[in-house]
Amino acid sequence: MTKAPPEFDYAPAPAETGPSILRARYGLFSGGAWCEAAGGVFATIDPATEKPLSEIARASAEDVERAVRAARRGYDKYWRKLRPVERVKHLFRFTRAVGERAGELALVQTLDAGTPIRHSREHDVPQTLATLFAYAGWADKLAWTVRAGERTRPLGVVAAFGAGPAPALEAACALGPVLASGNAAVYVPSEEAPLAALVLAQAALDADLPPGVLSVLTGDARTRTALLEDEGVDAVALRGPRSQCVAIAQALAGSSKRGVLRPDASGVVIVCDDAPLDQAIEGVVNAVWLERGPFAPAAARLFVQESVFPEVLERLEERLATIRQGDPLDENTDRGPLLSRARRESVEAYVRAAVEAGACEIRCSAASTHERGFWYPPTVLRDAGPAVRDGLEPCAPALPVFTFRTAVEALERVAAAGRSGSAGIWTSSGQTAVFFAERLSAESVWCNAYERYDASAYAAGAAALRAYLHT
Amino acid sequence: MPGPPARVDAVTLEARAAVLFSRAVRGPARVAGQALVRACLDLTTLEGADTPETVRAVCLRARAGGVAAVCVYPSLVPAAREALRGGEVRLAAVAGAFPSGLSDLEVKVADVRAALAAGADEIDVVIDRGAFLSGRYAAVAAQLAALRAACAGATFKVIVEAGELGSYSALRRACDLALAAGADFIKTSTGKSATSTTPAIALAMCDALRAHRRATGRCAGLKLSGGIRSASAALGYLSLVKESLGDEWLQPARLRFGASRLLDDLAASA
Repeated sequence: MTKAPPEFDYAPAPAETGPSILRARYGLFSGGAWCEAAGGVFATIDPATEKPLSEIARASAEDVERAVRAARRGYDKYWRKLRPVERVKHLFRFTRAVGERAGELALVQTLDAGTPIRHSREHDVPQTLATLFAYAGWADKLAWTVRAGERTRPLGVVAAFGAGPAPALEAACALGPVLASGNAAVYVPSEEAPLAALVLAQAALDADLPPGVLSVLTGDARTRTALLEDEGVDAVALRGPRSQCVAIAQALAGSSKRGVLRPDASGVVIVCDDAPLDQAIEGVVNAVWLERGPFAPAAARLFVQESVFPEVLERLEERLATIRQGDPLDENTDRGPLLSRARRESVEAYVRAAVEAGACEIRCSAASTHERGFWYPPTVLRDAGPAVRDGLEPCAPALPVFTFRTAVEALERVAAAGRSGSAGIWTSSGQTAVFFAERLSAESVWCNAYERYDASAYAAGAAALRAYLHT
Repeated sequence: MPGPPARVDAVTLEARAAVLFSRAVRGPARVAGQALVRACLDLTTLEGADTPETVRAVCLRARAGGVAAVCVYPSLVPAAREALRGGEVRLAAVAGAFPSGLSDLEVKVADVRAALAAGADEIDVVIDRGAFLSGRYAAVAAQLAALRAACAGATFKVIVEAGELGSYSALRRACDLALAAGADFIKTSTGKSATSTTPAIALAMCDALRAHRRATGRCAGLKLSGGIRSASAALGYLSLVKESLGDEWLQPARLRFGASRLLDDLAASA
């Protein structure tokens, strides 16, 4: 065996985009038809290259008013009057129409949001469809979401805002419950990645969803403000950054509009000394750097039991070097760019502050050779204590790591580091998992996993629907 | 082994293995990958009906195909040795009460010695699952140590028969035992069990090899065998090894594919 073995490396494997996947220009989807905006246009750009992808309409206050009036008409004239079982048929038909466009939706999301194509195809788009199907099935079973004797009257016109990172799934999670509970929806996708929602709008047109039942208005903060102030809107929904939720809550205070607001809270991963370590490392990498769920931002803090801390840190560093960050359209890419320049700047600011406060920065160097685009290498921050105490919200892909000695101490430190929305506990002991699950304040706790959702789970679905009903 | 046995989480292991196994390998990568698989192939014939003539035919194909080794039963080692003389293809023999591993240690050691005396370069033994599954880990370790000693100078491959161990944690424990006993290769399967090699099994074994290197500095090899018939599957495993263990494992000294029919598919899809 003296001969050198042949070299083996993956050749580029770009997904085929075809010439016509994107339109040069997208209008507003309002009153069941595409229309021009009075507010002009803006360009949506590819976060991997900063190249403009398409011209997007900017909805002005006037456009918003027209869309809300059309939504109200759609609600009063068609949607409210339909028997629930007929609404189910419409929603299944709409979902199937989205399914017909699954390939397009995956590509569009990858181009517009930088989600690796494999993740778009194998995770986000199937989850999008599963979510829409699950909610469609609820539309004639609303009585099961409330207590006996309670009513299930829809609110009317609901304005829902997207927050960005997983545009397709996010739109499905927002629109699914709004439409299934019998409301008309006016959806405003994040201006950072508006295209996926426009594909859903086209699917609504394909499926002959009654006009006005679903509108998609692209735009910016002014568009959202116009909706907040519009008399015809009965409720406003956002699952997104805490600051935006607070602003909406303040704007709605004293009005008759309902706010359905779910502020993001960052997540934690806790690795105990009896964890299956090989998988725990993978779990951390997934939770922090590869997944970007619509439900919570990626996990933003890591707590490791002291006895395994050096090994975990060293192996995490090794693993970071093998993350395949690059062209989102390549089928072998596991990590794409951040969504926008603003997001990259906020990560940079956070890392700078943490380093100034004494944190030691470990970054994966292989992944930052791009000239343009909103790239940021996966980064680990050691000894980041003071920065976190100063109240800075950590943000992926910069991960501060902390140690603990006992489970009780872990609880204290997790609590001291701020609110957490979800937690992943890595341990082989059921007892330890239950200990954490019972005591952490997180909304969801996973054992040996992070951010796994079943679109058909009863509790989440029912609660989301109830939020859009007069009970 | 210091510390408690390593534990493995099946869900995450299988998910990660599925990602690595289905990498897109296209164009020049496919050609290079297939050449590498061929160079790492242990062309195997382990039929009860093998004869000196069939083994000779396999050896000729092996030489023509430029594979790493031929793998045969001990009694056919002389015929194979004769057919491989003067070439670069190595000769491996399964020994030590293959495929059950259920014999007295003296019988197994004698089997190994006989195969080596007849001219084998490499020995594939299977662990005693009877002892392993009944919790006699020390006995398994002692047997492997004795067999390792009998193989001094030859490449010593230990088959863990992953499909019969019941869990990935048990598989990991068997791999750790074999590596601690000095195995040059750990090997997935005899090819005679219902489940032989899956992406998740391969990945769990890669993790064991990496842990062994961390602990001892020694790089042992991985042999994947049983049910790998298509070039595509082999390329999937190649990607998996590449990403979990690194490029330095992509060579015949550290990676082997044990298969009887894979060479045909490599030739067909070349």
